[in-house]
Amino acid sequence: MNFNPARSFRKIVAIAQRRRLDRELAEEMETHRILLAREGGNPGPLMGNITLAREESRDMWTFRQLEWMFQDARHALRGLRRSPAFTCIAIASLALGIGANTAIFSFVNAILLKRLPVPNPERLVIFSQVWRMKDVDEFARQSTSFDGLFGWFAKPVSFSTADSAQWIMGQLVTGQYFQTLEVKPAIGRLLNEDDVRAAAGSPVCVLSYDLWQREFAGDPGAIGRSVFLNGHPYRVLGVTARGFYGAELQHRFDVTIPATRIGDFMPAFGSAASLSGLSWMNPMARLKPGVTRAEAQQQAQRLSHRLDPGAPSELRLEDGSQGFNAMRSDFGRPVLVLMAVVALVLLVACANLANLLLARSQARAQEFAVRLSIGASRARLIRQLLVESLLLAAAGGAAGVALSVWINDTLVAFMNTGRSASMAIHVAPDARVLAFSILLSFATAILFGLLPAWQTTKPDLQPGLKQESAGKPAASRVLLRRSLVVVQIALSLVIVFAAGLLTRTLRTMSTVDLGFQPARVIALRVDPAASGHSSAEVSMILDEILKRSRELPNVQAASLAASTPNGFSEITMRIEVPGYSPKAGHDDIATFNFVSPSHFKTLGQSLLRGRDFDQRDNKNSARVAIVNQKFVHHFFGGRDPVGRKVKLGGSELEIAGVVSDARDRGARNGPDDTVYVPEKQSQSSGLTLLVRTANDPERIIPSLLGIVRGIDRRMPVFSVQTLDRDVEAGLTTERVLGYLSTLFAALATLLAGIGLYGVLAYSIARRTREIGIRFAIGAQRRDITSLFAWESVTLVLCGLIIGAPVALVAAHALGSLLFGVGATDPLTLLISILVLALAAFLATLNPLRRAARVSPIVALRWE
Amino acid sequence: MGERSSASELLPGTLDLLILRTLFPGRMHGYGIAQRLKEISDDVLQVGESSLYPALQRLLINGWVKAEWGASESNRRARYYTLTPSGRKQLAIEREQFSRMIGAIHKVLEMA
Repeated sequence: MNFNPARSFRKIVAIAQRRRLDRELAEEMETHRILLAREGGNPGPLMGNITLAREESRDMWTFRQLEWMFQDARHALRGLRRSPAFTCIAIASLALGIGANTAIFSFVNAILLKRLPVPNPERLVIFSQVWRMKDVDEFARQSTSFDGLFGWFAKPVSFSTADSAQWIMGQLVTGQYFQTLEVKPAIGRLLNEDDVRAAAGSPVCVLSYDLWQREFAGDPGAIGRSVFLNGHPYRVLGVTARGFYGAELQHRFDVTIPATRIGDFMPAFGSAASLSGLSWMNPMARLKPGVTRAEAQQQAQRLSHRLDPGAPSELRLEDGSQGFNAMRSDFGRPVLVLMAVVALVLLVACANLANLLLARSQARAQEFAVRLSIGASRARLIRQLLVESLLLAAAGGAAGVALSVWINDTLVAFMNTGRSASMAIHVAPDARVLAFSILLSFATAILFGLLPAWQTTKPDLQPGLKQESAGKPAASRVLLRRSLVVVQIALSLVIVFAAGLLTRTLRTMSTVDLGFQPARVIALRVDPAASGHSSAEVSMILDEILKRSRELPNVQAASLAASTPNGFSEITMRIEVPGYSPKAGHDDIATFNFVSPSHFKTLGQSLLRGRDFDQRDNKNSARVAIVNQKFVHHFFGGRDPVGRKVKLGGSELEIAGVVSDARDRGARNGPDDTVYVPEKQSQSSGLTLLVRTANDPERIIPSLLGIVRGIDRRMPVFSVQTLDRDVEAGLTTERVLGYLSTLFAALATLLAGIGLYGVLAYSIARRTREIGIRFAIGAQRRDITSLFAWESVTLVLCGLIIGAPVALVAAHALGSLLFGVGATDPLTLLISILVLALAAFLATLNPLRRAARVSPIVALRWE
Repeated sequence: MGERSSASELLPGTLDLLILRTLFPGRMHGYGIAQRLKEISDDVLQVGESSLYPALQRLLINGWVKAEWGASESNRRARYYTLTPSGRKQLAIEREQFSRMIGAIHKVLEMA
């Protein structure tokens, strides 16, 4: 019947009034009969079957399918309540499977699918380069492919009003930011080009809706008020629309500041004017309607060559619909790997459920045979069984969604360890995640329900109608159950192998020699500029903090550094080394760090040649540098560079010493070509205090905070923690992958074990009589045990033989995520196989023991 | 069997057509429809409750007729059925289809 909405509506109305309709129909028919009788008609055979007539009339205004569905649901509920153990196992394993999938999917959604909440985000593009502010202006003026283009820079800032101070995430933007993104204000107005140009004289800012609610309780009077950003007064222009958090999705930017005010946040750079030569802006633009990304890229490349002929790389335009997505490159692949792993776990769980359902329907085979023989259609029975699966999946799905919220929170908290609140990553499930979990629940129900339903309702009536226990159930059913176990073992091997590789990666990475000793070192990030101190004051304050912390008991060494291992900043610049001619594009780029004396002693790097910096290396003395071994190897071919000179920008630096290499950017990245410059001879901003202690580093934290407060009570401390934690934070991806995959591997193995247990137990129960006969004619327990042991060994072997090549192929998807272990590592594969074999052994112990204990008398009397 | 043609032996869907046609002049209750069919067909078409009322419910659900309660000649409440505009359209369509079908059957009977 074709679908007709008006008819369906009338039916729904009819269902709502079914009692009345029923009554009226009865009355109408009664009238009919009375009228007929009055005229002497014969109400006999002509009248037909009254009840049937009423039934059929009623059928006309109901959804028969729907009615049956409710009937089936009631029936299934009764059945499920009768076997609570089965129901609990089914719902629990589904909840785990669907919950894990939903939680991981919310990460996939947040990192790979979610788009900026602005009109037509698909027309946004980001550029592969970092630009000077004047490049942004030139591009905005000259290019014709864009409806707006802006530069963007993220910076944590200290936000204070009269009553409170806190760290929040800020974004510095150029004039066309809001125009390009087409964001609307919730109240007040947003920054435009004039505001950004005039901001040098009149600092203004725009708040996020959240901050406005949090700090001003949504008071419209906030507009025009002054707030303090890093101690400088800013006038509030307006508030952005609710739900908009800035040009990047995973962080929440609470304040938007004109880029021309960069001096307030990076004071060492002086003012925006002195930044003109530095590239620090991330550009984003909106394509004009009808302009393709390729066309815009061509035009942009031409323009880029004209503006900066020496640009280090070719300009590319990338999809900007997700904004600046810091997590896509770091976490994109890991979350896809995790998604694959949890999908496999769900498959194993489905196989397990299918197996349980098959065993369960065994008990009902007779009922179904009877129903089939008295004329129930097979489709009707299959539907009834599927309704049962759907109910299970719905319950499992609901529990799973609840579970996923918890998993999600835990994971986000885990990924945010080592990050301050303002830098925190936000991954909130949305409607798409919910839709995903609902669809997934349906899909699982079909997946685990259809096969058993098909199998159970096979119309082989004869054996079914006979006493089931005596007859052998269909061989195909046994085969199906065994295949399911084989599939479970194979899938589990894939997961266990992947988990093994990821765990070994984590172990290698956390034990690799980084070239410095992060243990017992405290890193304290404090920025005197954030409470409004001038550049000269900043320098004095930091010196004072350094001096006082060196005097604390148990402190072995202390220093200041611009970059710390796994810190968030990294400075790279082009360097000229006389006698070295650069070969390729990036060949003459070195990493810079600005450090105080005894920095290498604090971190545990060894000075190999020359001398360390000391008090004599200040603003007025000759400029010096210390380089690492990698740098010496690259630029000097390994010859002693002490006393040689290198050129940086306009000035010359004399190399005073050589230190050992350190992997500052984690174990995966080799040491960079690094140049250390005395912080007194540099323009650095945001130095970190590093303190090496003789014993427990945590105990010194209160004293350090005391020093900071003793100097300036208002000076906010951005973070204080051990360098160990920073290094650990650099391993977040590996740890998330290692721990979660191990957890899921354990889950899959457990499920496979349950599957194997079930099949064996069933097989033994089915052959109890045979066992009895065997015992009766003299078989030993050993013979019986080995009979079933062989069955289990065959199943496990089949699973492993199928699983091993699949695991080896699948592991290639891990690719670059692995470190220190190959994707086809034979040792890991061997261990994975042993783990599964052990699990299988444990799962078979109990059924085998039961087989050996079968009493021949009982067995033979069993019928 | 064989003496009386009951509705169940009609061509499928024909009963709906006949009811719609019977209601064309004006409103009528269930018993009235059955009587009218019987009279006009010279007692050939005798429709029992078991076919009539399911058919009427079907027409109601499809929105081709509407029903309202009124007094009957026996002082009992009776449900009166009226054609709706879409019912009139349906009648035209089914009539047309039916004529074509009858024509075809007739042709087969004559020529085959």
